[in-house]
Formats: sequence, C-alpha cells, structure tokens
Amino acid sequence: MIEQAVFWILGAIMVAGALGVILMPNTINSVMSLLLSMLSLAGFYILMGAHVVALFQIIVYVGAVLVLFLYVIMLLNLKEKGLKLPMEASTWAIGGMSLGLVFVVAWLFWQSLRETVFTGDAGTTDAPATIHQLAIDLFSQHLLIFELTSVLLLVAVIGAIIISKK
Amino acid sequence: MNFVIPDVNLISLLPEIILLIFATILLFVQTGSEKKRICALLAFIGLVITLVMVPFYWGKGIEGFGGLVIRDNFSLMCQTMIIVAVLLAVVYSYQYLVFEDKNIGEYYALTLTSVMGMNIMITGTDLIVIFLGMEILSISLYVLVAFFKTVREGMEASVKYMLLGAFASAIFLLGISFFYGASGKTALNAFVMLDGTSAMAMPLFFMGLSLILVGLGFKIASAPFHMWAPDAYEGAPTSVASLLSVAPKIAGLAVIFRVGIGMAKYSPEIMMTIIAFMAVTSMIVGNFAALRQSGLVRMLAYSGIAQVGYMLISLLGIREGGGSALLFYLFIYVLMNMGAFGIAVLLTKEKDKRLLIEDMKGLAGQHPIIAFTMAVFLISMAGIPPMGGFFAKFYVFKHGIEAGYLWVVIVAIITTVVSLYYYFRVIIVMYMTEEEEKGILPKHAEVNLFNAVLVAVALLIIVLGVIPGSLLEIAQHAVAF
Repeated sequence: MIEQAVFWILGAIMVAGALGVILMPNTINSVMSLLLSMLSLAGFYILMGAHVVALFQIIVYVGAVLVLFLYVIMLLNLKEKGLKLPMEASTWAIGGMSLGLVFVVAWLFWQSLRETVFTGDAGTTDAPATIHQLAIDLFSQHLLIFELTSVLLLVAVIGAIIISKK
Repeated sequence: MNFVIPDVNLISLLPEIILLIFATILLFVQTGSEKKRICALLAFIGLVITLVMVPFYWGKGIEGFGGLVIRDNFSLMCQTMIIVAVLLAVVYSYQYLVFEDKNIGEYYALTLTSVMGMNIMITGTDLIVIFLGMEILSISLYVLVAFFKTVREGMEASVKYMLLGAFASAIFLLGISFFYGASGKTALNAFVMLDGTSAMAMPLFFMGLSLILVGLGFKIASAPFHMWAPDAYEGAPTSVASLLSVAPKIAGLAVIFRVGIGMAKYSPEIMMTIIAFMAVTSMIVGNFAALRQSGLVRMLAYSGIAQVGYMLISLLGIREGGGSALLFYLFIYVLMNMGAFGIAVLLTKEKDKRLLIEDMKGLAGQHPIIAFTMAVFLISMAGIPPMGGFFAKFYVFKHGIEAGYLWVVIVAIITTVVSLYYYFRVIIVMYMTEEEEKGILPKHAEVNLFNAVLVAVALLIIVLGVIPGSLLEIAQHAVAF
C-alpha cells in the first residue's frame, strides 16, 4: 500500500520534472528539472530493490552528467531569456506526431510485456544485487567487457586530444 | 558467492592484444624527419603479424573468456579480409599524406584500434562484447574522418557521421536490452534455448532483433540507413574513406551473419523479411542515386550502398549455406572497392578540391596502366564475366533463388543492368574522350609501390574471376559450423 503511494508520488514528480525540462524558459531551470526527474528515477530503482543501480543513477547522472550540463550552460553564458520554440504549424504537426509515436510505442510495450513468457532466468536473481556481488561478477564473468571498456576510453581520450589540439 | 576466475585463454585474443601494443607504441613515436615512414612501417608490421597468425588459428575454434569470444574459421576469414583492406589503406595513407603532420602517429594508432574493434566484433559471441567492439571501431573512425581539421568538410562530415552513429549505437543498445529482457542473456547463442517458439510469440524478442538489425544496418550503410555515407566519404581524407567504405561493412555483415545463424534454428522469417527489405531498398537507392553523381568518391559511396544490397541477398539463404557466398562477395568487394578508392587517392592527391569524374578525361592515353586497373575494378563491380565480381554476384543470386527469394534476385538483376551505366561512364571518360593538354597527373609518374599494389589487386581480381574454386572452397569451410 505504502509502496503504491510512493510509486505514484515519485511518478508524478518525475513527469513534472520531465515537463519542466522542456517548458522552463531558463536553461538553468531546465537542468534543475532534469535533476528532479533523475532523482525520482533513482527512487523507482530503490522501489524495485535495485539499490546499486539507484546509487549509480545518483552518482553518474546527478553527480557527473548534470554537473557537466550546468558547466556547459554556464560556459555558453546564455544571456537572453526565454529561448522559445517557434509556434508554427509545423511545430504542432511534429509535436502531435511525436506524441502519437510515444503512445504507439507505449502500447507496444504494454502488449509485449503482458504476453511475454519469461523463458530464461531474467529478473529472478536469488540474492539482491549488492556491490560485493557486482564486483565479483564484473571481474570474473565480465572481465573481458571491463577490459574492453578501458580500451574504448583510451581511444576516446586519444580522439578528444586530437580533435581539440590546435 | 565465490570469486571464480573464468577460463581466460589469452591466446584467443592475441591478435587484438598485438594490435593494441602497436597502437600504443605509435603514440610514442617521436623521431622528427623520418616519422612518417616509421609510423607507416610500424602500422604495417603490426597488421602483417596479425595476418600471419591467421593460419595458426585455422580450424581450431579457440574460445576465450568463458565463451565471450570465439576465433572460429568464419571470424578468421573476416579478419583476413579486414586486415587486407586496412593494409591497403595504410599504403594509401602513406601515399596520400604528402605533407608532414605531427600527429601522424595518432593517425596510424587510431587505424589500428579500429581494426581491433572490428576484430572484437567478428569474434564476439556476446552482444555486449560486440557493442564495445563496434564503439571502439566507430570512435576511431569518427576521429579519423576529421583528422585533418584544415579541411572544413572533414569536420562537418565527422560531426554528421558521429551524431548519426551515436544514434545508431543507442538503437543497437536498446535492441540488446530488449533481447536481454526476452531471453535473460546477452549471449547470441541464447537463441538456442528458444527452440520451437515462434518469434511472434515473443514480441520483446522480435523488437530487440529489429533494433539490433537497424543499428547494424547503419554501420554497413545499407538503405534506408545510408544517409551519412556519401557525405562522410567525401569529407574524409580519401585514404580514410577507402577504409570507411570497406572494413566496417565486413564487421557489420559478420555480426548479422552470426545473429542469423542463431535465428536459423527456429523461426527466421521475420529477420529474413527485414533483410530482404534492406537489400531491395539498398539496391534501388544505391544504384539509382549513383547515376546522378558527378563526383567520383560520391559515386563510389552510392555504389557501395548498392553492393551491400547484393551482399544482403546471400544472407537470405543463410540456412542453405549462403554465408559462403557472402564471404566470397566480401573478399572480391574488398579488392575492387579498395582498388577503386586507391585510384581516387592517387588522383585526389594532385588536386585539393573534390575529384570529379570529368577530371579523368584522357587518363588512358597518359597513364594506360592506371586506367586499365581502374577499368578492371569498375567492370568487376558491374559484375561482368572475366572478373571476380561476376562470380560473386552469381553465387549470391544462386543462393537467393535457392532460398525462394526470386523477386529479390529479379530486382537485383534489373538494378545491376542500371549500374552498368554509371560504371561504364567512368570507363568511357577515361578511354573515349580526347586527351587534354594537361592531364590530372604529372606526365611521368614513376613506377612505384603504389602502382605495383594497384596492379597486384587488379590481377588478383582477374585470377579470382577465372578460377574462383579455391576461394569458394575456403569460404565454404569457414561457414561450416
């Protein structure tokens, strides 16, 4: 019962935050709305029992990505207030079409989630995902993936230096 | 839960490790005047070592990291093709980079990491591993496209390529998560457990599969996900464009093949419908758009889109051994496309702006060998008998018909006829037009390594066209699981 209540409250906050991102006239306020949305998403993860994911959500998105956003916005130093979309016929048409697409996709998800019989052992981990277990998984089963990620980062760093070098 | 170290078996990834070592060494090369030569040589040696290793792995099917990678004959064959393509690209780069650039070490290092990414893609049996390989490949290529920032088009092409590429990667990743949701695993052989169920009973799974194919369709530049290709090829340095037009396609098609082999066990109709759609649109869009191009590189880009369409036909007959036709076609495609781009590199070098087909006027009179090799590449692309391209198309069409996709093959034959026009237009410009006062190349282009490489590639195409048997046999071995 209390879970239901928390779910709906968090959901409302999340949707409000998401709307705020696109409706706020000031970009800083938009980023702050995104922060709200991300935090309530972390709350959802906790409701699902995925505490580690919630932790990562907060550290990565709130701690890193949004700070980066703020940094870029402050660097750009957007003075003029109210960057508004041009309210033309095409804007409305594209908006309507996107909304329709969202509903179609949501309906598809609903259908597929209802009909799917889970064959594998998805979502039936016996123990809650702790950091301890995550670490063991990462360095045994997914060792190659971990190493490849480091190669990927190395390549990205080289690329960034090349591109930004005078 | 105890810490169980998986069966790592580093031998399975030795070629990638060597490539990475060479890439790291290249970052530290500091010698002044000889730098250009040393860097090219180091990259060349690294690639040759990985090429030499292939026969030692052949037939062993070595697995590593608890089955996350497998070096079977199919991946070895793809690895050979990729390394041949990149070796040619290194030769082209050496020819193309006439001016001294102090970042030349990074240029070759990124080339090697892109090869490493492709190798990971073709050896990976797990979608996450494949995704990481794809990202290593893509990021290397984004940077290579924009490598010479002095060229404004290079930066523009790179940004275009990167934005669309990131979008495609996100779609691919979304596909993986659906796949995981449906099967509980990210391994490609998770299909096997679903034996007997129809894909329609698993909408999540079907959605994941479609999204994965869309992501890969972007990487192989098949229509309707091809929009980036002509701009990226034209804006990139021509030596990079040659790499871009061949190598990622091999890796992407190899992954589609692996997905298809997994699917073949139960209900592949949906996947086949998607592939047939991609093949038909690629052939139509590629061939008809190529008709209107005046730039050589742009024309080759659209022709590459069309060629991917033909290659996809072979995947329709995946259960009847269509993979061998795919490998055969890919091998010929590597040779003829790299050859044609090599000519483009040779001609672009002398001009700083984009290369038009008109610029090749009277090439045959001044440089008969270069014109002849170009003619060989183009005739092979058109699929006319004595060249290897004919047998490549023949096997592909044969597998398409055997799999019951006659209408796709009919579209393919009609578009092949259309393609004759634009391939032969170049030959006509080279041979039939009057020789101009001043040609595009200096009159006395000496016989050098570059010309020798082009002639060797052209000869190989002719030889494979006359005796295709042995290559086909190797290809059939490679796809026999």
